[in-house]
Amino acid sequence: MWLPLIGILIGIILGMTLPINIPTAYSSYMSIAVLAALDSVFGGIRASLEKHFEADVFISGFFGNAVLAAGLAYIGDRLNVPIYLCAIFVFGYRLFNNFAQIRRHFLGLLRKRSFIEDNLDK
Amino acid sequence: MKKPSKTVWLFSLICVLLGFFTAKALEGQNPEMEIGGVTSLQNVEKLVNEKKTLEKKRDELDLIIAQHESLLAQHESKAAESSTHLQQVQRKIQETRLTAGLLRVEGPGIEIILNDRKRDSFLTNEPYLINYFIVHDSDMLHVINELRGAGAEAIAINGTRIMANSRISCGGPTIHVGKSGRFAPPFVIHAIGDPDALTAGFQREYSIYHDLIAWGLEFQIRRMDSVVIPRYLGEVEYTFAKAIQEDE
Repeated sequence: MWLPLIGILIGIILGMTLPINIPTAYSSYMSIAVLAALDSVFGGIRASLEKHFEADVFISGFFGNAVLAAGLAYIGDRLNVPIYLCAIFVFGYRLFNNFAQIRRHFLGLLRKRSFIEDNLDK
Repeated sequence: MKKPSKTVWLFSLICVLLGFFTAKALEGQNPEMEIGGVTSLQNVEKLVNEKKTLEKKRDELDLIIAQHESLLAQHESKAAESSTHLQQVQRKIQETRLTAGLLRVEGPGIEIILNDRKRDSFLTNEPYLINYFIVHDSDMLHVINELRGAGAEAIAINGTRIMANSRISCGGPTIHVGKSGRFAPPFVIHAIGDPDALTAGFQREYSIYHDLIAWGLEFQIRRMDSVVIPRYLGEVEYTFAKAIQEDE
């Protein structure tokens, strides 16, 4: 299951080497998009652990969220209302939530295993 | 070994994108490109240090120029000693240098301080009028032109000598002056000439002075008994214009 990590590495290397430049003015939108993407990935991991992962939901969520977040931040900048705070808040909240669920899942697995091991000893 | 499932492949693909985004987002945070963003204290410190070293270097280079020029002056005066003809030539050279702005000059004159309108309630209530409340390159040109009209013999903006081919142009929140000068308000203009004539020039009915004052900009004129105007320091190079030798 190292494939996703290798994927991230490849992505970073590609991002650093490919001569695609994003104007500095838009780099803050990029950061918001990163947050949205991170949220999607965590959500996907959680969904797959809970065995209700759906590829189309995952893909559309990834791109949709990133675009929506960046777009909202952009509109907020135009209107002089810091809407990006909303994106940060929502995605941050969901990130923590998803992470908590993943943590619980693994802790549950550990507990179950130790429970079995304890009972095997008897 | 278990073959990775479709889900894992999908995750990897998305992770490539995530990594790409992250790299781009981090790359975008280039401190040198940042304009108007939040500047960190470290960044300020770094830039201040950079400025200090550059200024030190500039001073050193100025010293070298001064040394070379004093050497040149020595040679000139030594050459002038030998004949009256060469003395005349030397006088001619000095005069030309004076006209060209290559000599530091001192004399009576005025000092003008030009500044944007102070932040007040009017400006906060009508922010779209900001354009009228700041000093523009065109205002600066007007002022310089009126100084010249009133007989100013040497002019400097924030210590940069205005030459015959000096530009004064818009640089966003700053004004470009000369070849490499770039200044933000307040602008201090020094001019050598008859102080009375120079100040009287701005009291004419159609002077830029009244316009700027009407918009609430700061426009202070001060007579001075002695104004020192620095010389032009930099390259004097004519790439395209060549002197035509006139046969008599």
